[in-house]
Amino acid sequence: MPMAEVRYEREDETVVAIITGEVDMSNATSVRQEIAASVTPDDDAVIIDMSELSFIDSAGLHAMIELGTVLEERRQQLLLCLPPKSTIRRAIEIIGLPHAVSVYADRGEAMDAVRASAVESRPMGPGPTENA
Amino acid sequence: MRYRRTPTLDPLERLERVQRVSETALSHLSVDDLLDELLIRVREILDTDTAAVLLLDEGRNELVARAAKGIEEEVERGVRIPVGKGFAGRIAAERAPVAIHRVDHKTVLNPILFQKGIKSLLGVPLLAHGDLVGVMHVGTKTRRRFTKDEIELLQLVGDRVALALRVRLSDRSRVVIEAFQRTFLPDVLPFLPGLRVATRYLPAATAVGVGGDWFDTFVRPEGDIVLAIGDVAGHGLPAASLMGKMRNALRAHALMGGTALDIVVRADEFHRHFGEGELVTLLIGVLARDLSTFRYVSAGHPPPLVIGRDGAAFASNGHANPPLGLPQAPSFVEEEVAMHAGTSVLLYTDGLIERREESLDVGLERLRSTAERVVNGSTPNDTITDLLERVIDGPRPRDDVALMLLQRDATPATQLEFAVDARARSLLMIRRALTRWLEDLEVPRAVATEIVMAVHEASANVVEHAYGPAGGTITITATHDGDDIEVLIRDSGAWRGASRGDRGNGLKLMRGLMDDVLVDTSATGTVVVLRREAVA
Repeated sequence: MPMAEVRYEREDETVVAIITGEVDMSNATSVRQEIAASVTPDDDAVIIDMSELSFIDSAGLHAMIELGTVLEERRQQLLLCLPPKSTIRRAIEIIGLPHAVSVYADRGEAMDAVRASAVESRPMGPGPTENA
Repeated sequence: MRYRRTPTLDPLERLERVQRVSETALSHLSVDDLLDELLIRVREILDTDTAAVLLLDEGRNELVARAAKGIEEEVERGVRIPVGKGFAGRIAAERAPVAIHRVDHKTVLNPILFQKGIKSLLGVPLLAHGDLVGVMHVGTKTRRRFTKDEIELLQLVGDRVALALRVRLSDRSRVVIEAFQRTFLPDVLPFLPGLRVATRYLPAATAVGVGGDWFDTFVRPEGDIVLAIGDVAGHGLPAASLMGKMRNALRAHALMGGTALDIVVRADEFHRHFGEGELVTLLIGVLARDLSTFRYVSAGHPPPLVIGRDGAAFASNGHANPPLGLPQAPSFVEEEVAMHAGTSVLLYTDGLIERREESLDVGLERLRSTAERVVNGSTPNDTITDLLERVIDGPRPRDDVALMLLQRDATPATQLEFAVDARARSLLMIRRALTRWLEDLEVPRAVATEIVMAVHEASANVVEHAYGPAGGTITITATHDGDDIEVLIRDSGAWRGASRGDRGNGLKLMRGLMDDVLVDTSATGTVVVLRREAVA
């Protein structure tokens, strides 16, 4: 049976979920639900590190997109980490991602993006309009 | 006391009567009808009041009353006599006729015999080819001394009865044991590109020989292949059921993961704890996912025979592990066979190499030299047939023979074809098989993973949409042609709601990853053709 494992790390108000193994139509829903259950209302963002994942299919990617959509409704971000030349990255480029999900090369870049947007959305800080 | 004289029979008449007992007219009868008919005739020929047959229950070493005339109660009450005890038990133990002209509680165990007023008894063992089948006895209600001629006559009848019984009983118990045993042999062999596996089980020629040998093979979730072959001491149903127990335990042990050594250590512990001291030998091997190595542990089992380009040789560095279940856990040693392209490994049970009149070394050498000549380019299945024909060369062996042959292809196949159930759980197997085949062809890894992803998407669509709940199959045909890899994903389904679940992404992915994508739907099903240049 294709088995995926998810382990978690936390950085401030960000959940980092590291998926290993394989995700396909047989376990995509359970992986999505498992990650969703690890997120609290106080979290700003979820980073899913897929760089150690050996396989994911369109059903798996669809599950990530669904998760991103749900998180967006709660003003929580979903960021995926994938090395630029990987097959999974290529698959994501082919399918295309909605606005709710963004892709970064590694966790460092993803964390930088989370911090930057936290600064942007801080009520007292410079508003997004200034960047526009 | 009045001694009744037997009516004098002239030798010719006696012989004729014996012939009648075993004549072919009886051959169509069932065991019970045969015994009934027979006892009537025996009683008539020897002019006795009673006649009875008890059959040996090998498992319990007891005689069980099976048919009787004049003392039918013996059968109705299911009388059981331990071998060695009482009148019938003594005949069974001594395997010789016994005559008692004064029956009393000291000479006879079965109370029914006194109750019936039997005064004298004559019994003979039923022996078929030297094996005890049971005991036949006759009794008289008047005192009588059986003559030497009469004893010989009853023994003559007994010998014929034993043979007839043996054929009937063994045919029946043989069918039962064989059927039982077959349920424990794998009906699906592992499928991996680049590897071919064939197995054979040859039941022993006689029912008493059947029962102890088994083999098993399956792919673990990790993708490697477990092979097991074993032999439990003894024969018949007890051996067959112990074999079933070992096989199931071993599957559980193998599924826990680990090396062949880990599995054998668990099996050894299992047998020490749950076994009853039976001798169990087995060989466990694990073939790596990339087919490069075969690591095995033999617990008292003959060594694998490895057939490569340089000939055939037994794989063993001389270390011999003991069988399972010794009081003290031994330290088993694991050995490794390098599986180069074209290498074959033969696993077998000792029925293949043992012959009564010769040493084991002679049998091993016969197998080795024969395998060297026989194992060549033909399919493993044909090879096994050929090998058995030449090694056994004669009547069916007295013991079971089990064989497994695994063969690593000499050159990577240019075509890979297989069919799987159209279920989500099959997708992993499709990916594994395809990945291995592409690795063998040395297709660059990045290209291979993209091909695998595209084929997975096409297959996942079949799983989701092609069939109703009754299910169906997915057939994958992959061909390496020049620089191109072409993969056909076929189903025979009716396709419902294709656009609903796909969300368009599966097809989009296939088109994005492959050079050509063709979808051909007809009344008989759908074929998706994927083509991709196999260079980076």
